[in-house]
Amino acid sequence: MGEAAAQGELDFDTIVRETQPHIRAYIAGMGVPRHDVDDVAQDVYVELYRFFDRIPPDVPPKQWLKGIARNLCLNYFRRTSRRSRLQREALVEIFLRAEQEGPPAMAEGPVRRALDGCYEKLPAESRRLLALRYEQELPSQTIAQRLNSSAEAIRVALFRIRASLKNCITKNMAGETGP
Amino acid sequence: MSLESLIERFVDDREQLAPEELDALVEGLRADPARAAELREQLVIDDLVAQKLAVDRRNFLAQVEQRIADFQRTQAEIDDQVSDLRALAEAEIQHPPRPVADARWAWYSLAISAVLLIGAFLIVPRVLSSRRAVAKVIGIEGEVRVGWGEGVSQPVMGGAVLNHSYINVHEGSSLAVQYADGTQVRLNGGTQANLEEAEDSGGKLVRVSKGEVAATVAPQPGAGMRFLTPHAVATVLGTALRITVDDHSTTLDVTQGTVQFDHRDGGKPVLVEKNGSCVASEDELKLRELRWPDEQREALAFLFNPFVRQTFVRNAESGNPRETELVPRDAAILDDFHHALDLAGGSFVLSTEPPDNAAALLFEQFRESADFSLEIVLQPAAGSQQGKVLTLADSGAAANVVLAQDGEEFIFAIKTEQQPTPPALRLGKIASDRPTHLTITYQSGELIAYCDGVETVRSREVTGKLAWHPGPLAVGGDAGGQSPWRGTVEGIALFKTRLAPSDVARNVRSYRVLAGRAGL
Repeated sequence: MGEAAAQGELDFDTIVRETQPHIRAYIAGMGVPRHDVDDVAQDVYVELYRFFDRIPPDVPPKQWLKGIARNLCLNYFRRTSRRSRLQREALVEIFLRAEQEGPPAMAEGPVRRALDGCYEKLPAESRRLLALRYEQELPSQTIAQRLNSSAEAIRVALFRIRASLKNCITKNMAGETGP
Repeated sequence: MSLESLIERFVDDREQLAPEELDALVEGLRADPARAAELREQLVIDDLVAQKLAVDRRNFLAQVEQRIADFQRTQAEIDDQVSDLRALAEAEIQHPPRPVADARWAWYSLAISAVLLIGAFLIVPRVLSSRRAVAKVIGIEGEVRVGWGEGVSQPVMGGAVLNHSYINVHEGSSLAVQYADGTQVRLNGGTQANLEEAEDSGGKLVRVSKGEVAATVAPQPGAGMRFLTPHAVATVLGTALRITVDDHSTTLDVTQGTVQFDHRDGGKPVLVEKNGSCVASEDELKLRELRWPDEQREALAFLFNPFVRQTFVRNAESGNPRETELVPRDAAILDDFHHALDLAGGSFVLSTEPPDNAAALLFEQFRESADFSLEIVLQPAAGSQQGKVLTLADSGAAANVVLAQDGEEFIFAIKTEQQPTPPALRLGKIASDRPTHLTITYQSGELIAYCDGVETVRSREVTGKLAWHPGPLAVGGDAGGQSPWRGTVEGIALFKTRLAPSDVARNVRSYRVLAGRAGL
């Protein structure tokens, strides 16, 4: 019993550690606001803890977690007003289809390590912009004021940086997981 | 607006788009799956970068661990409650009502009893039951009025509180009563309530029109004890709780056990568990997390929070909290178990290390401010000593803020435009045998101090906006580590706003509940 429990705990910890960047990004990829992503993700892992021994052996944990995450995201949006809820549910449906039809590269493997490598390759200006946006959590309008720019220009610049990060990550992960 | 622009704005802030714009985004993405895929990738990368760079997202594994621990504790509580309910049910099964042997005799008996007792049922007992004592007074502070019928009086210690009594507790006052089974109810300042015996079940009933009520309820048979407010009904079988009622909502905080919370308009009840909180508004019940501080969080400039083990200073420019630390000096240590500042001859100072320079960020918060509030939970090591508990920029020139112990008394000073050398306001003694929640709030022309949520000192001596100079926040000494104070500091919150009495009371109560000190 003790050994089995210990084994179970070890597996639970390992699953959380290895899947958490993907599951959090997966939840964000359904349109959940950034400040609530981790709350929803924590709920996902509480469900994993509760039903750990009921996951079918032939279902990979990440796939099971994504199913739970999808349901919890829908629950999250159900708490909003009716019109907003319908719009958000429509967006979830669109994003799920995009995920299923898109390439799997970013859904598997050491995505955080790939991101670290790609981040280091960014020009200093891009890293500075990311620091203002994500580390200092400044809104685009405030960044624009600091850099004598417009909010729209900042949004476009960030969009491009993220696109280049995505291309870099996809390429790196394809290299790591490829033949 | 173009689809491209909508996508960029959606990635920038998921809650920025108006309903019409969201409709347009949904329509555009449905028509263009490639753009939908691109937007999803942007959201995924956006989150991955935030996971890497945002300070408050770096401890996800610890947060999951905490959630699992909370879940385990909650399960244990629910198991206890279920065991209690099962025991009650089993007791009922073992002593079922006796069947009537002969129905006709039963009817005759019933009819005769009804004729004989009808007058009594209609006239006398209502008066008698109304005059019956439901509880006795075990504590009074300040001004309290208890009314019954047309009579109103000041209650006395040990005096009876009659069924259907109307109680009015003035601001800053309180009344504690105890029922025969040991259940205790405390009515805090500003509360209006009735104590009754429920006519339907005979159970305890407290009607709260407004204010704050805390209770420790002994195990209740049958329907339990009920707290009725204009918005909701809390049904309790045996637990500790607090109910706060204002014009628009009722807030239930549960310290121990589980409470069933029903909206007055019907709908599905909510079970509120230990350390849980639920708000009943005009039209819904909403569960929420119990937290400290609970009020004026948006005005927090600095927080040392023992419950979530977090220390942060707010960035004045972005409005976002930045994690920081209080750095120990000399004999000061952070008590890891309680996450408290243990001051045994040393002190703590707010980090001034680049790139954050938290002390500079804190100064920026108050640069243009006219208001200031401090909450600190402290316990001196000795009833009499000399030392500085908390200082801001205390290095030679007049400090921005000083809270100090001067012999048996505590003193407080704050620097303003009108008082560059501020007078020391005497706050009185603070107990050395238990933690005290001290709140000091300043707005030009008025400085008020509260001990454990009760106003103790009010002064009009200090006036004007804050006129501060840069310098570190130090706890247990001055900026240079001199004038050490011995004792323990559990929690510190600095606000750039004045706290209203209701804010002070709620924050004190929330702290007590979270610290497990919510007893009466």
